Amino acid sequence: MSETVIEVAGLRKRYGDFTAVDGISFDVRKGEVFALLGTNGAGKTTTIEILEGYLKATEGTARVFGHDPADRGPLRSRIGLVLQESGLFGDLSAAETVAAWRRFTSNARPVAEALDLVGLTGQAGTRVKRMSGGERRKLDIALATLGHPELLFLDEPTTGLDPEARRRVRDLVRDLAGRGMTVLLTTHYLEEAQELAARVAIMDKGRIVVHGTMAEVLGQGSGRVAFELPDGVVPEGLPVGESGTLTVTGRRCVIVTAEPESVAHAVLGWAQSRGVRISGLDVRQATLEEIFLDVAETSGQEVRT
Amino acid sequence: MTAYTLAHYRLTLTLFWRTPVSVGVALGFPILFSWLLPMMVPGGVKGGAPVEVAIVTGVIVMGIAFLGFMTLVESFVIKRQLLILKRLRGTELPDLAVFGGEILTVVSAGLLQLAGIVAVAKIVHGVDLPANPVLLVVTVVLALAVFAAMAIAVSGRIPAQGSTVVVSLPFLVLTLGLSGFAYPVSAFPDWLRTASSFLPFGRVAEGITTAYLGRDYVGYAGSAVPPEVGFLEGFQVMAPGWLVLAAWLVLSLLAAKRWFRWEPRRG
Repeated sequence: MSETVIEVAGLRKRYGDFTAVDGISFDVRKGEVFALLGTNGAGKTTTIEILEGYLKATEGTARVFGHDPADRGPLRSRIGLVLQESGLFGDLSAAETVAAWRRFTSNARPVAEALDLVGLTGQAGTRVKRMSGGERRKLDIALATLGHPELLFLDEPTTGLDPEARRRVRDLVRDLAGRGMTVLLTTHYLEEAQELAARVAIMDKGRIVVHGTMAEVLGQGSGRVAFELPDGVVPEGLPVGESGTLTVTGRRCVIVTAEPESVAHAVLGWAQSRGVRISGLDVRQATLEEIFLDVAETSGQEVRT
Repeated sequence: MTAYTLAHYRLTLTLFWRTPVSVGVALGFPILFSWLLPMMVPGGVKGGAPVEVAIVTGVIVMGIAFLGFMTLVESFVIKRQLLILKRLRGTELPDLAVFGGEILTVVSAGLLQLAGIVAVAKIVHGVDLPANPVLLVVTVVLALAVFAAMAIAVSGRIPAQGSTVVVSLPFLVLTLGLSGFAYPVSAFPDWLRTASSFLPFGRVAEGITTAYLGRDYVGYAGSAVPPEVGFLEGFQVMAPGWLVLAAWLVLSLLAAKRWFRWEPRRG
């Protein structure tokens, strides 16, 4: 039913001996927010820049609205780009920048509306060189969304911003997505993906290692059930569920499992039937962060969270 | 296409006027020179033309070099390194509109500068207005186009903003040396005259002098006053000049296609 906006199949990008993107496939459907997560150098920006038409793939297919992204003509007015890094004219004010961009943007919003959309009305007359990083980011988004694009690319829109600015940008993206815009987002910030995206793909060393809806991806990771047993009680016959694993350190037991709730029930049942009082019970679902760290740990790379 | 070019032209023109260096150095200095220089040099005839005209010609060529070449090299290198070109490329602007807007800006500033120099020469130094103003404008616009194309090509080979002087300085030396400004072309050794006849600098100066005085200064050497040329004849005698300029335009555009870069050079 839902229309596919971005299709990526077997995509590869090599720079000499180095393979930045190593045969990835995913698709993004109309109206959804899709997040590409990954460590530094995982290949996220290379992937998004191929889709934006800045880079050419070495192999495989990339389609945006059914077009080759390098063929920018038919796509230009349908997509908006927020690059990871890009310059603005320091001597123009926010309003002048938007006004200049309106002259080469089809179906552009009025200046006041564009600034209001991102909450920059108060800075309309401020020259760009006097703006904070967060304000410039908002202006980036105002320019990218000026022509009511159907698809918005956001390459690390909140990197380098303080937490308050990050929260504002995140609210703004949620608001735009709520208006039916399709969004492809790359980010280091896991809570951002967890909050905004319906589907995610986690990249590592140019490959997609985890991919699916947020629920599917979270389901692949491990939740945990932790508690303490009284002195002298051994966890004999303790149910750990299918594929769960138990680690005992002194009195403390930790069960790592994909289904923490049902394991917790079983543990309580076990304790009751044996008349054992357990304490400090803690039941947790996997977070995207844990899944991400799992991926990062296996590859021994540094992660920013 | 045209609307996009004009939209980008309005943007670059606004930025030009907001940049004191562009306005002061590229636009203002040559006008200032056209006022001061003739006062410092004794009058008379230099290379078969009145000294004032030789100086004004040289100042016009220098102005074109400042605007067409140096301003544009600087502009493209800065915009590339600051990732402004990358951003513009992500908008609806076609690539040609990005170049077109910049070139229209230097052409319009160049014409304003030309008017300023001609006015100063007339009012301050009593130099007669150009005999063939259309030839003057055509020569200046074509020269700006050639230098702009060179600038677009060369900008791609310059790694960073601080290095533009590496090309700007030799360019200025060629401009001043070969336009007859510093040293009359008629006094050049033969080899230099031959070499110069294949370069745009002296050719542009010939067009400007011919347009100013209404006499045939193309390939001029010696001290006699050359014959008068009419309106169309002025364009005809410039034929070798047009060929040289057209060849440099084509070469520069080919080089630009090969060398121009939209994204920063790294490392």
